[in-house]
Amino acid sequence: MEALDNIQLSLYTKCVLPLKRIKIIATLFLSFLPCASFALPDHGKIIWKFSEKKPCVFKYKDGVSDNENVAVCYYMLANLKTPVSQFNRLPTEAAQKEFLRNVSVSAASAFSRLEKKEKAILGRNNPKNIPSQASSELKLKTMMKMEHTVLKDGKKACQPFLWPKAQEDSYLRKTNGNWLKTWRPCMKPFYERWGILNKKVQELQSGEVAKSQKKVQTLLSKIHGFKTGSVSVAQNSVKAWALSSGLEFRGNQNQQELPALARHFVLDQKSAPPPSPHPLSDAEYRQRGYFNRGYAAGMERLKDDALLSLSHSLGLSHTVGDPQGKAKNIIYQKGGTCAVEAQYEVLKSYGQNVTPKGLAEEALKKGYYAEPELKSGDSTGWTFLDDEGKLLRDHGFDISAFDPTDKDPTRTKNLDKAIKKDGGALVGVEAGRLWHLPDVSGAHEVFVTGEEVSNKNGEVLGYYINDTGTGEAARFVSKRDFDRAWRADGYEMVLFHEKPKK
Amino acid sequence: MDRLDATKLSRAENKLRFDSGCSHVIPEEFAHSIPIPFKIKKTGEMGFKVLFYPVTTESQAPSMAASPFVEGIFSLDGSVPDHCTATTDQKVKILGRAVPSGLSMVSYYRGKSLLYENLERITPLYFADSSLAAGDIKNISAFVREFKRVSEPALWPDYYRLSPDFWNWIQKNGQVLPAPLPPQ
Repeated sequence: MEALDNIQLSLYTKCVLPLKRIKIIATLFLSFLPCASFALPDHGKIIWKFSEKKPCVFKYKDGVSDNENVAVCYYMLANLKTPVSQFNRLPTEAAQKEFLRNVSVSAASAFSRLEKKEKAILGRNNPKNIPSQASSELKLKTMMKMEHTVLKDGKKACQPFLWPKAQEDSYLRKTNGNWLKTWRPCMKPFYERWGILNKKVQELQSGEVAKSQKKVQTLLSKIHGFKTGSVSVAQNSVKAWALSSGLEFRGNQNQQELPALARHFVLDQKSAPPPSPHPLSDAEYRQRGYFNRGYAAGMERLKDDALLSLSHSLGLSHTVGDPQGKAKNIIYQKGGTCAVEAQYEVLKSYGQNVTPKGLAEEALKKGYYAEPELKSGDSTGWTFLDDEGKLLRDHGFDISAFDPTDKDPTRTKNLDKAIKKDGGALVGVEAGRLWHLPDVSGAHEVFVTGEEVSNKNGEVLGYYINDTGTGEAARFVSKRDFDRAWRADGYEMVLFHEKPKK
Repeated sequence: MDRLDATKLSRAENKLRFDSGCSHVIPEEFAHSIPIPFKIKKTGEMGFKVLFYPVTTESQAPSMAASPFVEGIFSLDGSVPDHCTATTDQKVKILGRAVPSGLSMVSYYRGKSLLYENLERITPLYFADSSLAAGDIKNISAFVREFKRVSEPALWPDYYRLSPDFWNWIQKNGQVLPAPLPPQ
């Protein structure tokens, strides 16, 4: 540790001067600086007894405990390479005390930096900074950004005090990506602020969904309210309403659909609207994770669903499969388990009693999933192409990997057939293309749970997916976007069919 | 079918992933590098080498490329049998960004299509090692430009390792190699 090597002032000065600071430190980290213990009677050498469960047990040779080093112990664990052996190798108690004093000075200085950073981070990410008269869009955008940065920056600022150090989320590791008890003193203010922001973000997001639902409903009631009229009048009315409701008919295809849309409600206005793809309840909204990829993506999804509602209501298209029914099985994957957890969703949709963690462990045991350690200490994970779908096979399904060299329309027909017959398929896609994020790459597995089909000509307009990488469910992806993302991963697909039960 | 899919090179590279000799060593989640032509003078073999590497894939952060795990070999005419070799080193090191910063989705994929198209054009020239016309030099220059723009900077030393002879040929034809590639 560089700071330890660069101590210029006398230990006494360094020990006494930061006493005020140490009072604050003591509140958060017990005590870094056991100055009082300098005068304690000599019990002989201190032994640091480290174990996974109790990493900070300090005892004198005569068995007397020294509890004053606990906080400084976490600091040492977080910052030194081999603190335990370094400490225990010191020849005398005096040398050990001096070592602790030096560490304490360094810790106090690190804490002083943390204090400044904490103030700045909390100041920057304060919802009170947003003017109350700001639009709900600006409020939501800003708060979503704050929600993300307060934890990210907080964790960075707390790095010298975080032990064990942060690891990737994993089903297979002990820390499991949770906030560790030992992190809480440092991370508490950031976590509290995140909680406040998250609550407000949830409220604002619900508000956006409600607004979108209201717009669609107003539009539909107007449309169904027409008794008679010419197609052109109807077409213009629909367009005007759609635009005033913030719904944009994007692309040529939708423009071409307008006359048909208008014709439909003039001639068939008495038909009851079919089930809407727009979320009807708060639970459905939460399952879908509209805003999980950010504000713009969330608004885009709301618009897509509004248009789909409209299209359903006017009898222009229908959904094949049960995307909403399968949305309830959505999870956020941990590590690189997309292929494993996509299979989890399939098994759940068939009523099997499995858990994300249990399936990840099973996949690891069977060699289908690997989770090597990175040099940074983090982990990553993957499933070999040969092993795609094997968990389904082991849980009572016939599986077949689709031949990627097949050309359209064979592959699309196979996917359509799988959605109709077996409730979906597992499809490999390029993550960046699917998420519309240019700086993201890498292949990713998703569960295709349904498709939207035109009533006019049977053409597939798009697919519904559950995506464990973003936690989004029943996300509509237009056929064009889906094809691009699928193509970029070489049209990889696993088809499955439940074997008859004996 | 989009532009990239139209290149033989891209289709052959995709096919390699699912080849029986490779699918047991290539994970679904790995990204792949741009294929680099190589020739073995002794045997006369000519083909392409491609790297498969772990990449972090999160919606909240740019993807980071890790040290390549698998090296694949393929050819467009079947002169070299498709095969893959996996490294035995299970320690993975994050090397850097997988996608250069500042590119839009359209610009990235357009650049990649151009890169593959130009690579298809210049590869026969490299294999033939004959004299080049002005148009050929223009294609080599376009390849290098797109390579610098859309390839993974963190993998440049690995790109060089795949086929030093190819990069020497590029340099011999008046092109400046990407900075981390060793100067000749």
